[in-house]
Amino acid sequence: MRILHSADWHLGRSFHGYNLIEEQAHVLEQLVNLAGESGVDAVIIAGDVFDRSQPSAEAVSLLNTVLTRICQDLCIPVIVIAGNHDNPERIGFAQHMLTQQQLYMVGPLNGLWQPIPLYDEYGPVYFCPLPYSEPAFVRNFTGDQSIHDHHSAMAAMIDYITSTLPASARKIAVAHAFISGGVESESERPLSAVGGAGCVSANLLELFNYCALGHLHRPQYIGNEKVCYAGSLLKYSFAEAEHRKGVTLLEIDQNGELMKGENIALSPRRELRCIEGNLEEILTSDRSDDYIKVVLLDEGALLDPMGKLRQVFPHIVELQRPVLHQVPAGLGGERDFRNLTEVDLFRSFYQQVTGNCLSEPEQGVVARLVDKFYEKERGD
Amino acid sequence: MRPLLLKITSFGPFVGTHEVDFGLLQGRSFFLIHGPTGSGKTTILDAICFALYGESSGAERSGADMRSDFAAQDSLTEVEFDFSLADKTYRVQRRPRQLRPSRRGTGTAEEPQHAVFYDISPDENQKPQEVALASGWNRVNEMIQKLLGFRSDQFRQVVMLPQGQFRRLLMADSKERQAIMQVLFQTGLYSRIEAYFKEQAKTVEDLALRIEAKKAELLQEHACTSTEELRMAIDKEIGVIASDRKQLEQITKDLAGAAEALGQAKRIAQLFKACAEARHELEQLSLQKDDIERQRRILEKGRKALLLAALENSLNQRQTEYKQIQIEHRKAAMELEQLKMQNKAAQEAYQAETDKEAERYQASRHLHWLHSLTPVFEQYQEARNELAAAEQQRGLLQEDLSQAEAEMTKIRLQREEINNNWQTAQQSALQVEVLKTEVQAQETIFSKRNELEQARQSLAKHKYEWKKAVRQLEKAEQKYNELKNHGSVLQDAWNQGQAALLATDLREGVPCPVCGSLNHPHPHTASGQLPDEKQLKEQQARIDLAAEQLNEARKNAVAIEIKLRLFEEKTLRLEAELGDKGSQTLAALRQSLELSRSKYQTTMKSASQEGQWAQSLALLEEGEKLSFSRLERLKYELGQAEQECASTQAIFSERAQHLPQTIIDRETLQKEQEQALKHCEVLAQNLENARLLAEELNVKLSNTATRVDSLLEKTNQARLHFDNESLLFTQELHRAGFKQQAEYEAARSSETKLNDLEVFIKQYDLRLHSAQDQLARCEAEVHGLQPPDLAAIQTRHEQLQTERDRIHAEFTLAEERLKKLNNDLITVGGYEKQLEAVTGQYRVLGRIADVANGKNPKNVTFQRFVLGALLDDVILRASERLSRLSKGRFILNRSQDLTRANAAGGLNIEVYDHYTSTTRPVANLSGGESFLASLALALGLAEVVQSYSGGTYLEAMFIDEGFGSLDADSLDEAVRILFSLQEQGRLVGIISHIDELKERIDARLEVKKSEFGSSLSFHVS
Repeated sequence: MRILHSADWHLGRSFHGYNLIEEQAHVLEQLVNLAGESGVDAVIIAGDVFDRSQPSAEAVSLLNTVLTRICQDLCIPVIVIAGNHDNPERIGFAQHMLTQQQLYMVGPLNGLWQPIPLYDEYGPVYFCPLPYSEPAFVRNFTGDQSIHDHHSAMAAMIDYITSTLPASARKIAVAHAFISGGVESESERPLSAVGGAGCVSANLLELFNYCALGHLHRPQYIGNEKVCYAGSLLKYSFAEAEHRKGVTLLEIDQNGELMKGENIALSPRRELRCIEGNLEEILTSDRSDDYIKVVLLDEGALLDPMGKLRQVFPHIVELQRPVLHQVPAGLGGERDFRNLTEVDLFRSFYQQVTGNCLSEPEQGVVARLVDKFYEKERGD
Repeated sequence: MRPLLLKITSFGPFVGTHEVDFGLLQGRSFFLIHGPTGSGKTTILDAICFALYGESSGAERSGADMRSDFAAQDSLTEVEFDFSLADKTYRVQRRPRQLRPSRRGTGTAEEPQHAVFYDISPDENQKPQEVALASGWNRVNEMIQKLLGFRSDQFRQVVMLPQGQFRRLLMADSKERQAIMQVLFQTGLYSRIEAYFKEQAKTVEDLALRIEAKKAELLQEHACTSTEELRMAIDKEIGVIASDRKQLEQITKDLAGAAEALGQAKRIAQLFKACAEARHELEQLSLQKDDIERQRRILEKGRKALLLAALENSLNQRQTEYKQIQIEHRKAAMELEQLKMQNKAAQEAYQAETDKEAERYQASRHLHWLHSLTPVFEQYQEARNELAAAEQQRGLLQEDLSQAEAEMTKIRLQREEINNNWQTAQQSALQVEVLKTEVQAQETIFSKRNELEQARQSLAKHKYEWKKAVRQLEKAEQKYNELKNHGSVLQDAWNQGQAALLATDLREGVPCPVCGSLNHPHPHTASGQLPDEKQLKEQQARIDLAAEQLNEARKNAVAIEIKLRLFEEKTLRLEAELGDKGSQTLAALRQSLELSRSKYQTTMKSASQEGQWAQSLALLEEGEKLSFSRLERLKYELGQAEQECASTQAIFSERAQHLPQTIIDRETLQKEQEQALKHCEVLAQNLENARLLAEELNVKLSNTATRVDSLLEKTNQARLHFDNESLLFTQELHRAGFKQQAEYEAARSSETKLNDLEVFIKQYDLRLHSAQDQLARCEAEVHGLQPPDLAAIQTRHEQLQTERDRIHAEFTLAEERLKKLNNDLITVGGYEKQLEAVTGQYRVLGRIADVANGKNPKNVTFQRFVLGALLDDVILRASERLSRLSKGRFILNRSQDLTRANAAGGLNIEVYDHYTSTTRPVANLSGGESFLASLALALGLAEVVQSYSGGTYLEAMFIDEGFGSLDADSLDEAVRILFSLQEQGRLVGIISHIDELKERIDARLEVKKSEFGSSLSFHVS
């Protein structure tokens, strides 16, 4: 069976004030064509289809267009699960009716949540949707009060969904989680307020023949090729500038072995780039419509650098001048004034404001005065 | 300051008591307060602010306005807030001024504002305790301010970023910011050091001035203005002293001479004086001579009179005696008269009493009669008692009788009832059998109907199947026909093909293999496709298959038809058996069956009870008999009792007649008896008394008469004595030489006086003699001497004396002055030295103090400098965050304009925009940008404060709205940064209505609004 695995579309996301809906539409066009041409038997979107829990109208409209084309025009079953950016109930709209048309939108954990069997010539392949759920919801759903973090929640969900399946069946997990060992980039929203509690360890996924994962925006494998993040559709932050964005195409044979899994790149309309250098040099570059971040290494003051750069890069989004972040002249080198005595403080103060140093006898006077002052304070 | 628990009652939109337990956050440091508009989100922050400072968070709502409009009248608005600070836990309770219903009467009374502050840290054994630290609105405010370090407006700028006012810290001018940072970092120390330096410098300055003043004063005293002049004055003084000394010596000598001369003259004068005195005295004494003679004569006479005094005394005595006795006599006579009269009265009274004999006799007779009544009365009493007893008995019997009758009727009723029941039970027994048979019949009908139903159902099913089979048959037939047709077509084609094949071999003149003809006018041509053997065979096979299938289908159809007929028969049979019952539904039949069954059950039950009823009926009849006999007995007894009553009544009335009407009981009788007795006694007593009185008075009369007589005699005797004595006295008087009584009176005087007079005379004689002697002596002494001129000598002496004194005084004065001048010179020298040292000190100290207080080229005071450094630190951290929030566009800087001479400047903040490389004042930022800047500043400030151990504790921070002004990206970034604060253990609470935050933040305090007030619920997942 041939499967197209994608994730983290984040439709409706805005990037430094620019609405990326056009870029996303452009790339999704390529995806749809790829699905048609490769003759896949299923398309999996592993979460974060929308960027917000209440997506904008154009995001919804775009998703509608894409899914209609894949499901109805190309007659390919599509499995979509809710991610941490989506609202599960909204994703699960008309879930029951849509399944009749082979569009499986799995969001909330309820009675309709069950494995999805898709058939090839060798029999059924069971797709186990594991939409992103807060541990509290999993706790309520299963009644198991010991679930308090994402790992235990994921374990419970996996138990539940695979409980009706025979052990020898071919199973594919579709999950949205942070598997330990994965590499984050800047644009993911952390799953848990506390640092590492959002992680799920990879050994939970060993019983699946393949795990189609979403959430981390960098396309990567965890351990082996069976556990795969498809990566996001576009580059959503400058830390991802080096990533190769696209979708994963894979094939499962009759025994459930992964026959081939390759990453197919999709080319966006505008790239995301980071440029370093001096203002003069950069202004001589070619004009480009890409989203640029410029790091200026000039040391002196500049007149309206943003305006000038915008002539060359109309879509410049960020400007950094790392050289200007210096230690301000306050106490000079002795920044930590907590450890200075009053006499030292006064000495440095004196120097700063009058430009002269405090002579030895004068220092002695100051020291004596400070001592007397403390005595007086203690006496009060 | 870390909040632990907040309890609010009737505060804002909250009715009743609501609790916010921050412990539920379980270590999470980030939580969201959300709810619809007006539900009371800001009120929670108001409550915290109010609990701590008595004001609301925006300072727009006053404490008294916070009372909930929904609250019940008797529920008081109160806020209780527990928080921890350093290692201790505290609780503060506050109630604002409010009206409540008065406890007495109607109307409202004002409940005054009330605040208490407790320390509730657990003690050494970890047990919670409550120690009140302060109470009273202002005291609590003071204490909390001291503990937290903030005033309320500073608190609102740093810990709470209230709605619409978060920009205050950002926009504050230097002075305000200085005040806040002073509090936060406790740099008050430095300002105190500044002040101390200044003070010290001033002290030193003052000291110098004082020394100077003292020196000038001292010099002034000597009318000098400098030390030189002073020295000159000293020298002058020394010269003056020397001359004075010489003068003094001279005059002392002169004075000694004058003194001697004076002594001499005095002595001589004294002698002359004494002489003159003696002469004078003698003359005086001579004048008194005549006077003295007279005195001598008086003395003589006095002595004589003394002797006569004794006689006079005894005469007076006699006179008094006589008078006394006269008075007594008179008194006794009067008494006698009185007694006579009394005696007469008493005799008359006695006579009267004796005449009352008849009355006495009457009284004693009455008494006897009364005594005789006593036994009669006893009998009467007895009869009355017996009557009462008999009546009581009768009463009891009557009661019993009525009771017995009631019982009787009751039993009768019961018996009738049970009789009825028994009869009905008998009837039921008869019916039982009938019902049983009916039930059985109904059961059979019901089962038959059931069967019918089932048969009908199978009939229907089989009909359906038969139809299906028929259809299938038709289909199979059709298929078979089709195939057959096609087969024949194919066969034809093949045949034709064969024919065509054969036709190809046809040659003219060669005979046709089929018919043998030699002419072939129309040889068959192949048309279209020729099927081959295989195809034909295949078709045949298909046809066969189809034929088989057809057979199968036919067989199936027939079998089903047979079954169908069977079911039809069965159905009809059952219908006939049931007749019209067949049309009734199963349910109705079942119902009627049930009914009959239940009827049968009840009848059975009632029949079984027949035996019981019979038994109870027998029992009751027996009871009835017993009760009837008892009734008869009681009636008989009652009759007896009536008789008894009548007889006793007769006796009673007879006895009553013997008694007088008025005496109805024992007490009255006794009282009458007593009264009569007393009356008798009284009469007897009166008689006796009168007799005694008369006797007594008689005796007294005779006694008094005798007394009067004796007294008269005594009087006469006394008179006699007196006359004798007076005669004697007059004789003696004449013998002593006094012609008249008056003379004697005048000469009489006491013995002591006479003695004195004698002494006086003697003294005079003595004096006279001594004066004479003295005179003789003095005259001898002054013989030949002259009286000196004392006055002149005296004056001379005195003059010299005064002169000498004067000069001596001058001399001592001059010496003193010299001494003083010398001392002063030394003192002045000392002052000069001191002044030098102090001036030197002041030079250094003054400079330092001036510099510390801002008198330096940069116009920055010491404290301001330290604050400046701190502010730089804060701005650095804030800048980091702002840069992240604005994606590297903005950073914060400290504004460097120190051109103003005012030492209060230098703490202003400005924003630097990287994109345009210009600075903007913070007032120019847009709403969302300024929110980000304020947030960054607050976070930076909190971080820096936390890291300075001298600083106050900022463990909590609240942000009220403001997120609405951010776009999606900035909101994301802001929330991300706030999340990152969690690692630093600070509690951050935000109020926002934005839905997205609701889904991203897992610890939420939801405020729900309803028409009865708001309510709170904590959701922590």
